[in-house]
Amino acid sequence: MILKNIGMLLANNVRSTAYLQALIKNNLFPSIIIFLSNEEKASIRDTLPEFIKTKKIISKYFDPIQNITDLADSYNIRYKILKIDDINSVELVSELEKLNEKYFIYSGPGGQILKRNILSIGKEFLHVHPGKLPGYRGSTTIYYSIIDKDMCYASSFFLRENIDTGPLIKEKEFPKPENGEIIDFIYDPFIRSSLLIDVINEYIENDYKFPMKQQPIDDEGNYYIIHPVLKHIAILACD
Amino acid sequence: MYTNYVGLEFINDYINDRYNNLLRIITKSSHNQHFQDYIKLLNGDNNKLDNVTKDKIKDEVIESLKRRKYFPQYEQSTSGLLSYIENNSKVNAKQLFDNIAYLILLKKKEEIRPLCYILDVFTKKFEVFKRIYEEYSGSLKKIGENYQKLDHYIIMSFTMIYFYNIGKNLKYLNVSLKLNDLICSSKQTIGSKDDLIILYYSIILELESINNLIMVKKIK
Repeated sequence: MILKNIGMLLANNVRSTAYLQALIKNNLFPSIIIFLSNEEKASIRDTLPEFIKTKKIISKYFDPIQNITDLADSYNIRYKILKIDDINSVELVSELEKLNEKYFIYSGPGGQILKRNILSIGKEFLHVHPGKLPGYRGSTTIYYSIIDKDMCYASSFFLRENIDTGPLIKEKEFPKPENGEIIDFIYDPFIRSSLLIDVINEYIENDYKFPMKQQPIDDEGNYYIIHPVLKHIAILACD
Repeated sequence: MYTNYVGLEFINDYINDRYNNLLRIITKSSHNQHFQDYIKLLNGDNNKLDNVTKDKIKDEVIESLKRRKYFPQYEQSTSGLLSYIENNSKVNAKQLFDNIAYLILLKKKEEIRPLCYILDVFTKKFEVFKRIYEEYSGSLKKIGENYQKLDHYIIMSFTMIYFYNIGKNLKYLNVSLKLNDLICSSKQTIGSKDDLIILYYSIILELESINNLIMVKKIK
């Protein structure tokens, strides 16, 4: 089915690929994709390590090298390519303002956060974070939760100015992966896409409404990029 | 974010590097005679120290903190320290962390919990900007531009790793690892015996924390 009020705002990364593949697999089609892609940058295929491009990985999780626009073409999903690097650019704001969709599934460029100019245009940006909220906010939280709890978590919420503090929609827990080496490029986007499907299905069942609950705003649960030693411990703990 | 994964060898190399850096820093200082026994201890059982020795080092750290120049009125309680910071226009970062370190070494877990707020503020400052300045305002905004004093990073790292050992919150171990990376890679000589004993204890606790995680996670 076509999700009339839901579009996607996607950068050229594996998470975007995972999201779109998961939606299509579940017969859920966004009404439009705004695809942020700069041709001058390396193709997504070139940035991925060889070991994740195996049939076993692809059949169990998703195909990380599939091109977003090829996928959209195959299923007649409307899309628009914007050759911009800045997620807060005036050009993007202007494009979004022209669209009727209220909700956008968000998978933006790494290291960038949406600012007030885009968050205030009357759209909601649905983000899935790889950590349990509010306890695990911030960066690389999937690794912290593997060390702390031997588990992985994903939480969906609408983006707000303060990082990972928007109203919560749904959370889900996952076992740690059998192979820790696939976390960055496969398992992290996979668990996020899994929760995304649950969220969209519940939205449909709930008469096209997202259930929301507020979360506390403080710095207590903020984590920062994990140190390589701790990251290695988390990966080795999966084996 | 995407650190290359190189296996258990990476952790073994890190442990050896840390140990070698600690030896290099101590040997380079003019106080190396004082540390001869501690260096010998490290050559023993997989860098682990027995509890009696650890208590001895801890006592020496407390004595070192006592010798330092504290706030005009040294704060003996968490609430006293917090209100002192709030009511002053200027706070020296080293003195602040000296005082926090002293409190977490001597007070009960419940009493020091309110200090999380300050540790979280400084964790964010270091994780984002990689700098700790010499002075801050009462609302913990930086004053001036001096961020090159290594002793500030040493006492902050010790405070974070000790706090991790109390509450096991990984964000404090994470920031201490990064602080110790910075300290170990610095070309500055550490001239103060007090700073050296604090750094020694900090790195011992850090290595012990990593070894404990390896054991708990059954990593082989």
